[in-house]
Amino acid sequence: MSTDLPAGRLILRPDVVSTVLHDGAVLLDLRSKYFYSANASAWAVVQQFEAGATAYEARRACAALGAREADSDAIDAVIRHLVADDLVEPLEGPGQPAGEPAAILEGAAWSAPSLTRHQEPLQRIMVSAFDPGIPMAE
Amino acid sequence: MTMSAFEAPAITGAALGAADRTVHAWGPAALRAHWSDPALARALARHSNQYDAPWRAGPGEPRCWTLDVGCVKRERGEVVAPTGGFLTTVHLDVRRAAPGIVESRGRRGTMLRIDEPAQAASLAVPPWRDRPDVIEEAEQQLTLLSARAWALAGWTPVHGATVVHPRLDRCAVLCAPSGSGKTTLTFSLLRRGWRTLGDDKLLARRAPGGVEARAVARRMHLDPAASRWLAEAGDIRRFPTYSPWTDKRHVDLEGVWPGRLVTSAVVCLVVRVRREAEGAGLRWAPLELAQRIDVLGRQVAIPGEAAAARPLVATIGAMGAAARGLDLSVGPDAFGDSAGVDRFSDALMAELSEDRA
Repeated sequence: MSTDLPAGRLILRPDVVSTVLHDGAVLLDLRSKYFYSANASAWAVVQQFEAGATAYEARRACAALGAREADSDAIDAVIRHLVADDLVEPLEGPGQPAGEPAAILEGAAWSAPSLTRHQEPLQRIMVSAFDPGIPMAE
Repeated sequence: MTMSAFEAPAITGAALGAADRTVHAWGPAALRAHWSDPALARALARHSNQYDAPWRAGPGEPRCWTLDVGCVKRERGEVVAPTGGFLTTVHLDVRRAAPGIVESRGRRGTMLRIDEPAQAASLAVPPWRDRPDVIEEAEQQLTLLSARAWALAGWTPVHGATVVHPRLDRCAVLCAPSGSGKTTLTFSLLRRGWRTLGDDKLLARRAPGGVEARAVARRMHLDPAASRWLAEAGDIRRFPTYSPWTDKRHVDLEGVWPGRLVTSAVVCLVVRVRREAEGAGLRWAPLELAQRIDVLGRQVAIPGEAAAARPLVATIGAMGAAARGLDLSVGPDAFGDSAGVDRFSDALMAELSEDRA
């Protein structure tokens, strides 16, 4: 079990938006403009932080979803990634009590969680409200 | 009178006097505009009337919006650093001023205030005669209004061209920045029997079985230089220009290829179009899911506000997951290589065939 993770409760930043796909989820950090791809197990980890959780609570929830001891490093790596990229932030105050652990996506079995930041961020300044791209020289 | 950054002047119907009133079909939305200056209505007419594709209205459509357009005696505004928290474009700083209220200030002094719950907006335009930059900025404000109206109606505006299978209602979305060859590629495929939803804009939404794409405009944007390989279009210079900033022309698609504009299709393929300075013809390779998401994300103006961004990101994710992808490199004079375009057309046909579903 990693000791370099924050001991306090963490919560997903409100300006990180997500959408569920058939075998995982995509997250978009509206601050950094990066997309992230999460497989079904990583999405289950991320969901633990939607209402606030500690790293310990997230690990425990993953165990309830089928994670084994051997998956601990991969779970910690996902949490560490969330912390390093500021996708989660410390939850001030007592927070909500831990509820039922988020379910893994229907039809998916637990596997090594994987959260990947995409290569390039989206543009910050757009051509128009319809056309985000910067035009090529013609 | 001094104005704070986003203090758009209140313009009411009663204050308009000899107002001109116009109605515009904007796909799932309809716009009723009141103009304090009829000449300004005429100056913006080409933009206001561009969304002229037939629209099959769904429940609650069209959503009716009102727009009051007035002129203000205000000189050119100071150029400000882009800081719009809701959206920042090269012309506009867009902010959420209050719950339900979006305000947009342009670099040239235009101001737009959108009251989303009321489906009402007001646009203030500074002195604009002999100022094409002010007109262009006012057009950008209208683009913002249309984008919000569509998003609030459940549709995601996507900047992309489409080609639709000649016999099946399945389409490929061609994604690239302006000037990368989307339109030329679209026309090259049209002459090989393909159909289209348009060369620049489409509206998309999640639907049972995938993502539905809809056409919003009948006209396409062609460079006069394309005349040399698009004989069907004749001399493209005979068509009107639509902006002082480009020589491209508005070409009525139905006038050149009757029956080729379709109004809806299911998105089955995402194609990233990349113009290359070197390399021969058209070359393509598969595009993975993460790449498809990135490509689509670059074709949608996603607001910086989570509530407004969420439905657009959901559509992007659904489209990326439901469709396959191709990464297309376009070499110099690729469209002069007829056999190469034929091969790409065959590859697209295979990707969109029913047995790939």
